[in-house]
Amino acid sequence: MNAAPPLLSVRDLSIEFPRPEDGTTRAVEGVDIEVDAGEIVCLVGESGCGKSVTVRSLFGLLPPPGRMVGGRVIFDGTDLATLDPARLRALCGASVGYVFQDPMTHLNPLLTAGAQIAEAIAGRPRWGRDPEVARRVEVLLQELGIGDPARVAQSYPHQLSGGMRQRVMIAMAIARRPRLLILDEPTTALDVTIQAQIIDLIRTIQRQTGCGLIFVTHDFGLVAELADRVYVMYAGQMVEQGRVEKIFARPQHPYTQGLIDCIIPLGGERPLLTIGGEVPDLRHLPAGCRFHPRCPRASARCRTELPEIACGAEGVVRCWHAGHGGLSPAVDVVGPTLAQTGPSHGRAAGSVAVQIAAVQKSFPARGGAFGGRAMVHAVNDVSLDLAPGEIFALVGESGSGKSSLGRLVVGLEPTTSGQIAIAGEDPARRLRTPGARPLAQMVFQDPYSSLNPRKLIRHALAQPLINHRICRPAETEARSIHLLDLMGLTPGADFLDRYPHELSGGQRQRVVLARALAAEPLVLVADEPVSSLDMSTRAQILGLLQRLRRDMGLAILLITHDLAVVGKMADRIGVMYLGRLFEVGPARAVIARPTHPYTRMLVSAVPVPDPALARTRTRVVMGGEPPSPVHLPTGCHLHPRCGNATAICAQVVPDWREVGPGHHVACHHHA
Amino acid sequence: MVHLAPGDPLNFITGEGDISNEQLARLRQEYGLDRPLSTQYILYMAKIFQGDLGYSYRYREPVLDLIQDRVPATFLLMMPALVLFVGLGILLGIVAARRQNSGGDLFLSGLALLGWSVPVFWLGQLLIIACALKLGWFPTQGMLNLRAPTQGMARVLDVLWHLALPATALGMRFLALSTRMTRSSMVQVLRLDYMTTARAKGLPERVVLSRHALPNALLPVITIIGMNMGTMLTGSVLVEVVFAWPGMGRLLYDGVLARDYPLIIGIILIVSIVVVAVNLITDIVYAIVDPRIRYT
Amino acid sequence: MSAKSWLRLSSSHAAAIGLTIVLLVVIGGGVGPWLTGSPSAMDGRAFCPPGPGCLLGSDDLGRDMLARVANGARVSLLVGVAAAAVSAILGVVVGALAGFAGGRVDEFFMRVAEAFQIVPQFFLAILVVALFGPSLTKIVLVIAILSWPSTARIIRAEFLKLRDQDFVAAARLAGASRGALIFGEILPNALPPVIVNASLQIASAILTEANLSFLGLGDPDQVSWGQLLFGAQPFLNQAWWMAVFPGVAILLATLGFNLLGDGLNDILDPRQRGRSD
Repeated sequence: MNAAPPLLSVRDLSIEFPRPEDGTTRAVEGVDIEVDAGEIVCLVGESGCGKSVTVRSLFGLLPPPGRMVGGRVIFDGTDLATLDPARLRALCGASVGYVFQDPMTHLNPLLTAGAQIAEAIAGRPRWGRDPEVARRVEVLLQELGIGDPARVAQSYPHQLSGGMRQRVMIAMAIARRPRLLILDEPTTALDVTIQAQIIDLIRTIQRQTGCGLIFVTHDFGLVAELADRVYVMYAGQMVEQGRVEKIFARPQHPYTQGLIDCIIPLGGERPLLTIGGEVPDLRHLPAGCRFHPRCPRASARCRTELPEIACGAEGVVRCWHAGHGGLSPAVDVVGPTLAQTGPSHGRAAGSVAVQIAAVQKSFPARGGAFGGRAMVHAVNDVSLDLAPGEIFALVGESGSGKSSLGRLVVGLEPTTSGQIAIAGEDPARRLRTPGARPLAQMVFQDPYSSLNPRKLIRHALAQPLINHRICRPAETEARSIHLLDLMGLTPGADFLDRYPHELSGGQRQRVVLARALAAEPLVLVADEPVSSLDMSTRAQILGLLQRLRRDMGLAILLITHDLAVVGKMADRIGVMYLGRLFEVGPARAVIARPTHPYTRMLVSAVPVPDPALARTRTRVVMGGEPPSPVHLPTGCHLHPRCGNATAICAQVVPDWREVGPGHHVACHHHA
Repeated sequence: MVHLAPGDPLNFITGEGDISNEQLARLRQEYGLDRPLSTQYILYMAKIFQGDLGYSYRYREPVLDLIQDRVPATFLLMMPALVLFVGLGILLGIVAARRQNSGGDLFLSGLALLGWSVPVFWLGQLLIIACALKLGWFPTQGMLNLRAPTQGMARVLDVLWHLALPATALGMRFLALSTRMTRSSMVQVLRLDYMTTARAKGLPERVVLSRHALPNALLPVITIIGMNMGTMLTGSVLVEVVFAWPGMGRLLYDGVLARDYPLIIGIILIVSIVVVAVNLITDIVYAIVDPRIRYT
Repeated sequence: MSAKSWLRLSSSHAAAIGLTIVLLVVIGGGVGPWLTGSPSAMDGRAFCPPGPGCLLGSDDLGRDMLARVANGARVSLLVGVAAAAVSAILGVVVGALAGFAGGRVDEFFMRVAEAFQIVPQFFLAILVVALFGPSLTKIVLVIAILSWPSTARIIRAEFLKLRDQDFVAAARLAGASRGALIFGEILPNALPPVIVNASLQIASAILTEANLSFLGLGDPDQVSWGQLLFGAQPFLNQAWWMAVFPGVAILLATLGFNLLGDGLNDILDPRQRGRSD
């Protein structure tokens, strides 16, 4: 389409990781990529597909012992293979800028942000204090929308917030106005709201500098927001390539189709979908097409013959059965969503499962400089009722106190003031009483750390059954197997004598769920139950939660930062900020008509999986990040960040007002 | 507490010879051994705070003077171990870490482990047997050639010649320690994400290593070396005994043989103060270098 | 990924070699004396150089060095293992208490540990042995009492880290008692670094005993390797074998335990353990 030669052209790239004990793994095979000047290219796929390795290898940043074993990289007319290592290194920073996933671990802890940026500006170490360089550092930080560049420049990485660190990373990457910017999952470690800020920033930078851009992500929602062109990778191979509009409108490869189908849109009636199975281990690749074990279109040919990536009428795709409208691997594992079935199963009118009354929780700040007198105010005056069989979603940025509230509800921590009652009883006291069956159970965010690595699954399940005398000791095993079967781990007996590390993330999360149910709780607190899982597994766990509520009448407090999940799962939603609730109401109403300025910003930060819409809509942006819960703002906690704030906001905590049926907002200025 | 131990120090002072009871009583009074134990202890503590470590039974000199005479020799023995061998160890550690799991790395790591496992005094004995007795390259004992006293530059060379073996025996352990620590610390740092960042900025590999890897890798090494000050002094005692080096360790050894309690306690007190001071200095250095640690 | 596997491979080599050496020394100490006879039998020529008849030579009193070295293994290993065991038990108890209780208890114990760590241990050992007289039990106890803080700190750090892990919270929700939390959930996960440390501490205790003996502060009734070297010092000129062989024995034993410790560390180190592979 473009007469000019591309800025970057990668042909037939292959990368290997030698493994002394069991041969060599080919992490990437035969990958072609082209990036034009001024173009945004997205590289997308699940984790373990070789995306990061691919972009790192281009300019010699592959971690040892990985090595490029084939292919040509032509950048700006130069074949990079002809450059010696020192010349190749010199290209980095000058012509190519990199931004990586976790800004904390990617910054040197011993140097100030300013010193690290100065290095990037000069391309060599700056030891002394050069006022000219210091000025350029501050100008650069200012360009990135940082209000107090001098302070940021003098700070060490540990003194900065996550979003600020990522801005410092970006500053280093664009310091010398490179022609190509490579961003490797730059927002994955950040909150959605900060992600929205960074995505806006990236778009602005790209427009201003006109650089080419490679954006690596596992999130197809972000692809819609950013990409001009999309490359889809699966198990080390490119499977499809095309313009973003075309990829979204007419995906050819079943994998692409499946990934797009798995996006959970904000609102809408579509059920939660999932792709079964997992990305194959590179050491044991399936014969034929690498996707065939998960593919509904797979034929005998797919099982034996690997398709070439080919340019057809409908685009560039690697599949024997390419074409839009073919079978999608994304399937509905859940059954009808809850919005259609309704929450009323077994629910007596007016009955209450959980009662939270004016609850506060504060604890001493860790490493407080002055003898631990500084207090973290995690939960501030929260009142809330949960009905039996209700899914109530608690949303907010990290540090909003939603997890703390969850731990209070299960009774792991006592409240500082106020009461929590489940069926009229204090869960913390109940937990301290030996032999008493607990009222609530919990599912944790990280399924890797919520199972004891040294104990068998059998032990994890037997523990609640025996301690709480749920069943007779002789029945423990049968009961455990039944629970595992119920969670879709069939046959359950096969899982009893395994260790957690032998299970995948999704399987572990099912075990955790089974263990929580073993104690027969009235309430289940699910703290970010899917955020550490792969996209394709998420829907499976969410579906289980819905079934539990439907079949057992369990009240579920779902703690999450993902509003799209909330829209699919929850009956009601509570928006939390710095330990305080801002808005409570029916989930669909709140998402469709967010009233509080903070909720509006949250809703608008969710990526829209439609390229056309994503680029034309106006976003509600809110600068800054939540302040520390040690020093709470006066009045309405949001006032320092809120565009609508007036004098009263800084002084008076707003009262609750009803804006719709069951929809309450705490804001002085609700529209 | 000292007096629970078997043996009466006066037995040593008076030696094997005959001594009358009157004389014994006079001596007891002279050394304050006739007073109640609690009084002795309080008097002793009070004196320590005045900088008075008491009198040595054996040498009949103030303990502090005795120690002061011996400190320079011990210092001389420890300097090469601290500077030369630790420096070399850090270098070897870097070399090994950069070629992780290569033959060279395995060789250096193995050697370091060997150096860490070998008893210091035995290494001294081996060096004496091999380099002094069999080959005759170095003297076996002492700090100076007493038979042919020298002056000026020749004297310095003579001391260095005597120093070579004991310093090597002592330094080997620290060479081993610093190699091991630097290697493992460097291997960890080299794996960290900010190394990739530094490379992505286009910094030459030399700069990536010297500015980003090394400072971070050396932080734990500083602490470990500081924490091993006690080990260093231990080694110094043993080496001084093997080589009859006239330092504090040799003095302690003589004190132990003679049950010269004021001397033993005095030396241990001084050593403790040095070790505590070194640890404090290490902590302060660490806090200065690492911005994540702030003392309030 | 492959670097990790390489490391595991080479590290298990280290552990295997270490274990082999340790076993050799243990067997030598266990079976050796039975074959070589009494270490104090003066039935040979004094200062006999190594050769047929007396493999490792004989000492100034005509005692067979092979018998003495083999017997020394018993004493040195006993001191090493006993001291490390006592110190590990002490360290685990104190560290677990401090780490689980937290707060004031933690602060108190850690100050005590710090005080113990900062005093020059060997000198204190000299003082104690010089004051109370040498005996094997005292030497073992002194070494143990002076070396527990490192174990305590390791256990405490692990407890602090593990205490907040989700699986501990989950066990609480599953009705586990405090004892079940400590012994069933936390301790098994905190032990690997202690095992590593114990192996290194055996090596260090063997060295400390040798150092003390070399200063004439060993148990005079027991033939340890350090004591053989103490006895060899005056005769370096006449009988090199008196110094060389006991030293080689110490070197082998400490090297073995150090290798084993290093190898175990690489195997057990969570940073090298893959999450899902």
